[in-house]
Amino acid sequence: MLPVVCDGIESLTRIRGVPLHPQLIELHGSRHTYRLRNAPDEVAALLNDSAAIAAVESIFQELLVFVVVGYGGRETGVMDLLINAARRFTDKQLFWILHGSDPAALSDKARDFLATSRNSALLIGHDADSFFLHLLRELNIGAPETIREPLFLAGLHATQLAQHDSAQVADAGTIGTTIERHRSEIAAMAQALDRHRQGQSATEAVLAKARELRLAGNRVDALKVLQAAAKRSKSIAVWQEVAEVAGEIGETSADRVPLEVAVAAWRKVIELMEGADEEQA
Amino acid sequence: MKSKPDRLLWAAARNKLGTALATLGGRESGTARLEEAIAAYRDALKEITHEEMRLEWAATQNNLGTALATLGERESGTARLEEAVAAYRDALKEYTRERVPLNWAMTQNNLGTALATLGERESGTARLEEAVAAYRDALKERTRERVPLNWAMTQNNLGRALEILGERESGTARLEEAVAAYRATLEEVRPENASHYFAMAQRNLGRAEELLAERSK
Repeated sequence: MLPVVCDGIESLTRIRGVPLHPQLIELHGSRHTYRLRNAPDEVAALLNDSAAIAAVESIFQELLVFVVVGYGGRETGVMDLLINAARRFTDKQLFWILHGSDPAALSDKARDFLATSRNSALLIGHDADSFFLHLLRELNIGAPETIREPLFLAGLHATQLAQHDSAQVADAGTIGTTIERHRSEIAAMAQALDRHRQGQSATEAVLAKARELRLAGNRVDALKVLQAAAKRSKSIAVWQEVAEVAGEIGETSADRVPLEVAVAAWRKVIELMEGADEEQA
Repeated sequence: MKSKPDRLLWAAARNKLGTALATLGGRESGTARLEEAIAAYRDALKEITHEEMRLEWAATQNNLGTALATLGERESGTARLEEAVAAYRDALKEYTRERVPLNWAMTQNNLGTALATLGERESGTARLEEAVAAYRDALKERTRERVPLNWAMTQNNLGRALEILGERESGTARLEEAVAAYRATLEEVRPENASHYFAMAQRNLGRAEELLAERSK
């Protein structure tokens, strides 16, 4: 599902407090216009814009959780709009993700925003990529569908093209053959992707599977997959992955076995590295 | 002769092996795992110099210091603890306050703990004074606003070093400072967020207050 996009004050009427579909709201506008936007006075004017106030307040009225990531919170117009909405609908679950590790670097406006709620929290030391990696891992989701399956969106789009009755459409023949070409090319790419995946070595396939499981927070199954492959493998990459995953499990587990596995795997990595050196010499 | 990338990968593997061994060693009684961890860290340090991988080198020195300090606490004598102090001081050459303030503060705290343990085992007060100075340095960056639980832990450590100093010195000034440090700890360590440390800090405060009361009679 493609999101509803709001990239300027004039399009704020597109969004809803209780959205039926995903919404992308760029409060200080986008660059995808014929003229330069985001001038300081335009951003500052947001605070008094009734459409912006109504839109943001409708969202705050309904939302349960609000997460700010990848934003410094230094534009007064944007931040005051958020602060006012958060003050009106108090005690929402608010999270601010800070790139640096020093809470003192949080902007004053961001501090004011978090102060509107007794349920707010500051998470330090994460950029957007790292935050979403951890979030997806904790939710056991793993890599997004579009990353796991590069043709997912293209395939979905292709199946939904021109589903209406062709008899009612002018130039239906031309449109139909163009859509068919598009679909057949997507199908050809899917076949090529299948061939590429089937052509992967056993090691590459195991590593890909284990990384997928690890990203989805399923470290125990990732370790099982890796250990099964490692028994007959002299791949440094496989043993290194065994060691990393076992170490991660061991850090938070009272069971000593994963740490023993990590120790043995790191020793194997070192042995293989030293063996490779001898072969080169 | 390994190429530079190979050397660094090999050193990283040794460092991670050391960390897994040190974690195991910390959970077990005995010293064998810790000895192995120390050997792994030292092997890693043979391959990386502080000129080419400054922060990794400092991290490995800090890890080495922690493994040596844990071993030193389990063994009699002071040799391991002296080595731990040296490793922490080496780490601080690259973990500078300007470059990595929280890592600098963490290492100052670790250094303080190794010095305080040495100070407890030795007569005199010089090591303990050094420990107090290291903890006070750590608190310059480990502030209550920035890292409240780390601040509280360092206050507790500072309290312990001051308490031992107070026991060895006449007067009440050090003991009063120790009580103040323990009280500061309890401002942040609560039963709901750190029950084990709360109980420990309460015991520490009670003991220091008792000592202070006796000394004040």
